[in-house]
Amino acid sequence: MAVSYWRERDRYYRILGSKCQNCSAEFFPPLYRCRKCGSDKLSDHEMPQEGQILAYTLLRDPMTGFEDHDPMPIALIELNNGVRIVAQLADTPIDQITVGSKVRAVFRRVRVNGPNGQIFYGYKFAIKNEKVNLTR
Amino acid sequence: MRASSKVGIAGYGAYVPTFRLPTNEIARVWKGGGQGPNVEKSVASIDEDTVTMAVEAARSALRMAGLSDVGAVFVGTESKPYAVKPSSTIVAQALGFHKVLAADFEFACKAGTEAIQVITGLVGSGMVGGGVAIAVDTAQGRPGDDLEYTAASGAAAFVLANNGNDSVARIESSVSYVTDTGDFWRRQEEKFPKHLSRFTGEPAYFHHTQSSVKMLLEEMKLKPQDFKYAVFHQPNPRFPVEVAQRLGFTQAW
Ligand SMILES: [Zn+2]
Repeated sequence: MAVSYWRERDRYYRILGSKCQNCSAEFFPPLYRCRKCGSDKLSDHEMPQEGQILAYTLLRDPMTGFEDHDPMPIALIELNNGVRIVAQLADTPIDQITVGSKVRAVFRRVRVNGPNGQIFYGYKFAIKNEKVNLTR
Repeated sequence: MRASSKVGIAGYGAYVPTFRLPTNEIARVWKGGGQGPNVEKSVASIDEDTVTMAVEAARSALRMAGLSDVGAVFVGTESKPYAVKPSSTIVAQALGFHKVLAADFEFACKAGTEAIQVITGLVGSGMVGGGVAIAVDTAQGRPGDDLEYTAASGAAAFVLANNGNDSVARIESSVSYVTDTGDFWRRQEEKFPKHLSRFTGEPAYFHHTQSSVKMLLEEMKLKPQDFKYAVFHQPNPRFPVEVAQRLGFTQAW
């Protein structure tokens, strides 16, 4: 496992951010000093698993290692605590992605290093609509 | 096999992937037409595997249980993503548990049941406060094989704990009956499992199901008539109905 990924795996696996013990502000990615009040008393804090899409884009020529995900939908998501996060969208047909859609976090393979390398897991988001039509 | 103290199901969760494959599409590709015994099957998405589905099922089981005292995370599967490297440690990390026993269980169909039985023992003896047993598969059939119609993807997770009357259900007793019957296997490096169809029915499914149910009834001093519901392993639509009849459970629907 790439060292940086290993070090930050809780961030990718659980959307683990931080919460200021002084002013209660929440952050993701985690911080060492509160961006709001300047306190250095922050603790690990799991982000809410739900939110809504503020904006999205489709990558038609994804980076090396992501060729299977073409087009790759990437969304700017506002979580229910107001924290904003950029994430890949899973399972949703691209013509059914809309701004304002409610989404929930899912645990997925993010990257696979070829047939004999390691598998990297992490969060993605899926649209919370029971009526998403998957037949084409 | 009975635990020395009461062990119950504190929460359960299931995960079925979003995508479906109609069996008439499978039949069209391999046999030129027709349909399987089921209308469709669930298939894992391109970025899903047994680890990701185990995490989803376990998260929803833990939400229901509301339990933080978890001492074991066991994953039972026949389709793990790594030949060497446990799935259970990835799942435990994703659930945020570190001071836990973590192990993978292996079987064609009953790996999850083994996980439940072992956690029953651990909770029942007081070694751990609670545990998560997960059964998960992205089951595969060899291209063209009848298994392709029904071998699908999904996960189920059970949180077991010693929480008295708050349990969804209590595990009163369980048994296990095993033999070495070479019916279903996959060698290292092989992509798909193989099976000898002639062993699947009598020597495998019926012999083991009937033997274990008889053991359980004897151990508990109960008869089929004492049960309102009985659920049997369902590798196809016919076997569970037939084994219920053979054992003396009457059809209730
Ligand atoms: Zn602050």
